[in-house]
Amino acid sequence: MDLKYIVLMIAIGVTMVLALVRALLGPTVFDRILAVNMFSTKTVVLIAALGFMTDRPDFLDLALLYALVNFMGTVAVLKFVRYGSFDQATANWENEG
Amino acid sequence: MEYVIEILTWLCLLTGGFFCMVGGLGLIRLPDFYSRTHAGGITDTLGAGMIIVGLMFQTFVQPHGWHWMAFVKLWGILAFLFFTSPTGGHALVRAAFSHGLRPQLSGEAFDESLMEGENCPVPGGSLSTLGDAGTADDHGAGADHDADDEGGATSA
Repeated sequence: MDLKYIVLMIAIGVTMVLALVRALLGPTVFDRILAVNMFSTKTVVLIAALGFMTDRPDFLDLALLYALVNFMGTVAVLKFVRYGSFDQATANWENEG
Repeated sequence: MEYVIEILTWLCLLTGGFFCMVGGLGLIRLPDFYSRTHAGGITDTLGAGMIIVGLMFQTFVQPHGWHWMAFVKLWGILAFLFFTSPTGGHALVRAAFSHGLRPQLSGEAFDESLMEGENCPVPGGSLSTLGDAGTADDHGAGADHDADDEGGATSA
């Protein structure tokens, strides 16, 4: 237990609550995706700080994995919003319409 | 030496936490989606970046079991966030724009003629032809999704 990690986790917690408020309020689906993306990034930092606070270096692996999943999830959700399904080919800028 | 590292850690963690909270506040208070993207970008790069740099300083003074591998993993997280956060933000904004969401300009409507022909910032055609008629209204997005652009200019 160290004071700096407690201060840091309070700051991250406040940010996560604000992001959740935007994710619930968000007028468009893109606001929600932005807020959830930001929430995930804060989760990565929170897991890393928790590993330092409780003296467990393994938590950094979880944070790294979460950072990978976060990006893939955002792009997958964007594709789902665009096409309505996951199984179509990628965007063809010329022939869509 | 340990005092120096402790002070640097405090500085980085406080700066990172401050920018995280400022970005969260901006996400609530800014008026439209494209400006909120800016707030989200601040927390992703500067906020998380400073916090992770602060934790990297802390790996040097951890008591046991924290050898150089923790430093390398933190560096990996930092590099990955540094590259994927702008990429994800770009994809998000581009998806929103091609979906028909237009930025709020102070008082005046978005000039759609900026997206035609030579002025179009996207190679390969007009963004407005990407409007998907089937799914546009299902998500409540794109209030000004005008029907003129749906059929026209596709063959250009």
